[in-house]
Amino acid sequence: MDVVVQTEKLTKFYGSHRGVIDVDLVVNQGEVFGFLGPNGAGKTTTIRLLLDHIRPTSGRAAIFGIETTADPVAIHKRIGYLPGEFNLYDRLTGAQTIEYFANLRGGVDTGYQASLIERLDLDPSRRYREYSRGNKQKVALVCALQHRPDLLILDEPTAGLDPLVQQIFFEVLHEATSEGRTVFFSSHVISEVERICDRVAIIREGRIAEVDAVHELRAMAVHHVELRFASAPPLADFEGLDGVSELAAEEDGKLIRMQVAGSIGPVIKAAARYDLVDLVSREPNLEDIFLAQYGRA
Amino acid sequence: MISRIYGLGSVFGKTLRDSGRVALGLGLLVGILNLFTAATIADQFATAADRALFAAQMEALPALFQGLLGPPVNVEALPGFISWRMVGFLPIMVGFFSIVALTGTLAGEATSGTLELILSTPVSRVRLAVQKYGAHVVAVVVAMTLAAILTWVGAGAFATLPEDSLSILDALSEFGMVAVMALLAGSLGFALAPLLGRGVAAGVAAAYLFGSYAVNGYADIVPGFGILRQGSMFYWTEHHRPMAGAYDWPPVIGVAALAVSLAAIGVWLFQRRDLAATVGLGGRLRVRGRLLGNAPTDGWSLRGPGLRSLGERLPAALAWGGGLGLYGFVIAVSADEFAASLSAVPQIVEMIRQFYPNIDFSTAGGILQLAIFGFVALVAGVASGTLVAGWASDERAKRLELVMSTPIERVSWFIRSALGVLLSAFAIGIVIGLATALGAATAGDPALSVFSGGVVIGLYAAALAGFGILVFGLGFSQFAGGAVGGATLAFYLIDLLGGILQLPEFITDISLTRHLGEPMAGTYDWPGMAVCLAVAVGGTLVGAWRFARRDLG
Repeated sequence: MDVVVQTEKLTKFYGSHRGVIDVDLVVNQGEVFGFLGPNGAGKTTTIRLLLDHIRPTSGRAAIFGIETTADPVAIHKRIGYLPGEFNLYDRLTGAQTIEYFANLRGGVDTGYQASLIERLDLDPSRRYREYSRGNKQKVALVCALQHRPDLLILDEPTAGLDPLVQQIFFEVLHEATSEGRTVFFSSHVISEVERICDRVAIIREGRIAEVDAVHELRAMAVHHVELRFASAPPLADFEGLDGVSELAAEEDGKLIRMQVAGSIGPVIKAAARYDLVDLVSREPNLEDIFLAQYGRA
Repeated sequence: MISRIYGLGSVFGKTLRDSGRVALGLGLLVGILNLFTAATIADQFATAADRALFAAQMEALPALFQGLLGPPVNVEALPGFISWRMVGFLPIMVGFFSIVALTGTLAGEATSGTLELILSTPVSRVRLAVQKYGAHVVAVVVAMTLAAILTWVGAGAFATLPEDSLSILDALSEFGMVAVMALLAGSLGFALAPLLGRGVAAGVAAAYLFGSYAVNGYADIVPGFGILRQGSMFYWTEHHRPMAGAYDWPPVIGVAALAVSLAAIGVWLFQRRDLAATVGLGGRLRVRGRLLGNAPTDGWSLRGPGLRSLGERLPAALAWGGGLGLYGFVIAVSADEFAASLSAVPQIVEMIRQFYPNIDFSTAGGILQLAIFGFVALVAGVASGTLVAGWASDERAKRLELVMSTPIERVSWFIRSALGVLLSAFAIGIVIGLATALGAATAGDPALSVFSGGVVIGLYAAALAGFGILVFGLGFSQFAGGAVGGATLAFYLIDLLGGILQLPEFITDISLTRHLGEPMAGTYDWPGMAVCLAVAVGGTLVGAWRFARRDLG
């Protein structure tokens, strides 16, 4: 599988202020790579480094095997970018804005451009300044998608989009990846990252805290297990089991709660020795993993 | 409680806090200039006899030279001279500050979206507008009070004759008039901004400010200006010169009442209209003038960064050039009246010939060179600053983030879009040249040299733009427009005060305006023009070099 994005110890300081530190990432062709982190964690800084909008203090980044600082134009020819925060030309209409960016890129398939406008339900005849936030976002999305880029770099792309348009947008992304194109998807909306991404990197205070496939991250994370018994079993039977933590008994010992890392088989076996009335095991979601990384689980 | 007056405790406090530094800077600048002037005049004309001779010479100047300064009143005394030479122009400077602040305070914030947030708090629109306007009034009053105090100190410190003494009350009265006049211009912009948007409202207010100044200055010479001056606040208040011992309060009170009325209209319109919704003036303009209105949105301006930059800025450049060109046209067609006025005082003609041996006062070109070239160059410089500021806003408004993610070399984008700015700045001069040349031709005088004067002004505006482009390229995009305005003002002041303060030549030579020759009169300073070209091109190239190596944003 071809590597599309690769960073090695990518570091950026703004004077004495931390941007990102030692960021190591690998994004493969055809995947939707989620980039998750709260505000100020370093998501946008990383993206701006990838685009050569800012230059690294140390380390390197390469896209399509080209170092970002060596030949950014060659990279930009093959990418589409949607910034998290942007402004466009107030006096131009949506159509003119899209046309301008098409001219800057060259070789845009106008049929595909028109289909995007139609699918995203954008009225291109209005001036940019008259658009709502969501419609401004649609204009920028068309600008980013219209040339069928090999790599889409999207920073909070769904901000302002209504659920119906979000759905269409996700379909467009799915089409892109099914054609072998790659998506770098930065967001702090965990549910949408979980929904569409194949792999996720979690960035925390400028450093990469975790990178893995979504299902692997889930597997690594703890299950929340509740066991209800007809009569209270001895708590000690569960204390020594592999992966068990946060063990607690309630309701005179009849309800036992715990967190289990890895397989819950040993817990089930131990519970089966007693009169088990009910068992609830909640699968961890990305939010649990994310919050655990930030110490708030 | 203090934060409600100056700080984050109220809209008033926040507005005053935001404009406080600029207001203090303005007051200090004006005050220090007056201090210097007082020191120099007191030094050069120390005796009563020297002063009397000086005053007689000033009073004998024909209207052409008194021009924008107006008739000298009691200039043999230090306060009277400061009032004539320095204070008369101040309503333009302070008025420009007021226009920028008062058009931006509501319309600018409405467009940027910050008002949406402010108005989501329990602050009514009327209260918001009144507090913002009130804070600006206080800022202007503070600035002018500071200037008055420094002028009073200067007159006291450097007085050599009994009549040089200045009472603080007279100083405050004079600068109070400046404040009121500046606020009238700003209030006009404030009233129009909810209807027309910030840019157009500021343009209309600035046109009134500059126009009424010029119309009043040349009303005795230019046919037609006599009627137009009836609407000039400079004409209404021309007899109120407290520092020269002349008082005429009713017109000043009238100007203040008019300013308050316009402010009330602005508040009323702001309260009634949708936020950031303006009338379709632009649309109507497009129907009437294809190039003026359609330039930014026609297909040609979408073809690349250079044309986009040109398309965005050309309408404003043409408007600036058109306004200044109209002024030049009127002066040019009245050249015969100016020449007649001048030749009526042969001694003055002789004196001026000593200073300007190459200027033929009998031609429109000579008259234009003497009467308006410096002022037009000043305004063209300010215009150039607005063009650079608009271009530089691409980075602050984050448009550049998107543009630079397309396959364009940074250097290529920089040079092409900067070229759009340079050409727009140059276009200001071309339009001025065309309009003044038309005026000269109408007066039956040679038009080519007059046109070339416009070209030189265009070169000067482009040089200033090149300086701003360099500042942007170095990474100071937020200061690029201000740097051009600052350089323009600095050159003007060095030129203005160089002679008065007898500054050494190596300082006065810094001013680029001293190296523009007398092109409207047919005398060219080729090295000066080469310097202008070098600054424009060099600023762009060095800026591009640095821009390619620095972080965006």
